[in-house]
Amino acid sequence: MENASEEHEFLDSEIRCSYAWSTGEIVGGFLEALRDRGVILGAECGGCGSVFVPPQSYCEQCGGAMKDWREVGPRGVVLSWARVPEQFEGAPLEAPFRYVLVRLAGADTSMLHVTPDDERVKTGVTVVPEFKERRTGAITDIRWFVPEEQ
Amino acid sequence: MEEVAVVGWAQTRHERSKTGQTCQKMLYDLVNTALQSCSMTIRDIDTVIDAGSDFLDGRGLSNALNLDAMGAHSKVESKVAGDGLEAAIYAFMKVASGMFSSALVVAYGKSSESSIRRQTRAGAEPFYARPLGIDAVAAGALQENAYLHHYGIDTSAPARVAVKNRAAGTANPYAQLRSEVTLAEVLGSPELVSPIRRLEACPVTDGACAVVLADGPMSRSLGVHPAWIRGIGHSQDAYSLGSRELHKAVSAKLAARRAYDMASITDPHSELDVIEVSEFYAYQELMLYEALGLCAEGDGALLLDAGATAHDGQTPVNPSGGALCANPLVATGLVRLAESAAQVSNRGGNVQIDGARRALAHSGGGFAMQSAACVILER
Repeated sequence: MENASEEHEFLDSEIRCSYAWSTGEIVGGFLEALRDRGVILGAECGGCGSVFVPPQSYCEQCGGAMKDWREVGPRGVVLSWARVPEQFEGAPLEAPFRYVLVRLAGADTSMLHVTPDDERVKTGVTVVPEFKERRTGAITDIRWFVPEEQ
Repeated sequence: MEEVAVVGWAQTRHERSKTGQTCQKMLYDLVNTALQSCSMTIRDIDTVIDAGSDFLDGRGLSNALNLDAMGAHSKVESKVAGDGLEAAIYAFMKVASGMFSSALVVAYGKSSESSIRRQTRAGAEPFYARPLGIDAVAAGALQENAYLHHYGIDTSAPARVAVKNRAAGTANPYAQLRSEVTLAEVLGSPELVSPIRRLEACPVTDGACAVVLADGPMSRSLGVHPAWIRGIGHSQDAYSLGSRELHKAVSAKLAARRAYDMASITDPHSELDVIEVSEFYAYQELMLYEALGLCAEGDGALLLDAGATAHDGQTPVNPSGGALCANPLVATGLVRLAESAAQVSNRGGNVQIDGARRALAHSGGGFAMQSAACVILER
């Protein structure tokens, strides 16, 4: 059969859908502590004692449930990093910036976050968080982590 | 347990944008070609398992619209929300159980119809990850740096994987990218998210793959060389990047071990004749050499540089050019199975490895290789 003319080659469409995710006790408690107290909370597994940061309700390693909050950091060590050279829709900062996985003091997992595009941000470097003045209860209440000044 | 073989397959020409064709017509043509490859008709198929992405298709339960096109009308059908190689594992189990004599596996994706980087961002966990804008490339970049740093590997090693696979892809008539690249071109290509450079990342691809499985009696009656499924394995690591040993492909190692145990393989480097892996980014192929047991942990670059995984090496990896030459999500892993079946049945054409008798196909899923599946085929 004959091809359609070029103007009928595509049909444009868009889906928009808003969500309100239930945060529950663990995620909600973590976000509330960021917003109200400017502290980072981990959750300790009742089964194996691992401290999850950011916290989750379950331990995938041993299957245990969380038993206690643990305040962690604020200092942490960069376990890996990646540099974003160009701006994209949905970026938390103006590019360039870096993604980092930070192992906060007292934590057994590392947390994904961002840093400025600072040459010093490399694996093994100690970083500290900078909190925003106006906080809303989101992971981005931490503006970013920056290298600790000696 | 019944014997099960891959008896037929087809893949599309993989392209940046397959315009002029609906997804349904692409699947209709593909399935017919796969059935013809093993002298079957759709009436010979007992059950259909498909892999597609609701995100890429832009519909919830997106298989519903595609089932008629792929010949599933009135048949037993199920969908896998992952790579088509996982669908093939379910199909294997269905036939091995004795409940079905034959199965059709279909996987497809038209990534060109929306924005793939936005799609992978939308796949991120909503509380801790999505507000930070993390996507598949950024997650891969974090893993690549963790890997390179842990073992002290130079950033040019992944670039040499890209040179190898792009050279291989020139012989593959289905590949999207069929031109060689030099090491200087790879190293000089723009950084997507550093350390991943553009030429070290898979392309955005439209394409699909279909594979036909049959039990022993039917496989032997078709007049084709069956590619017998001797081993299967699957596993997934923790969801959170921060909860993993990011410098290791843990899920691929577990999936391979399960497949090797089932196939009684103890030394994969000498017992496998060819391997096809889903390396969405070049560094992943090095990590997969280690996870699949071809070399010790951290020695992936040494294995590459010794030529062991080249077309004429002891264990060629990705003679098709791999995912770096075409990445039709979520068919990329099923394409590896079709390529592997072609190899062990001596139907590999330009990419044929002489005398290949046993092959492994790998698929990966999630951020930074969270999940993996392996299937071992034997002539």
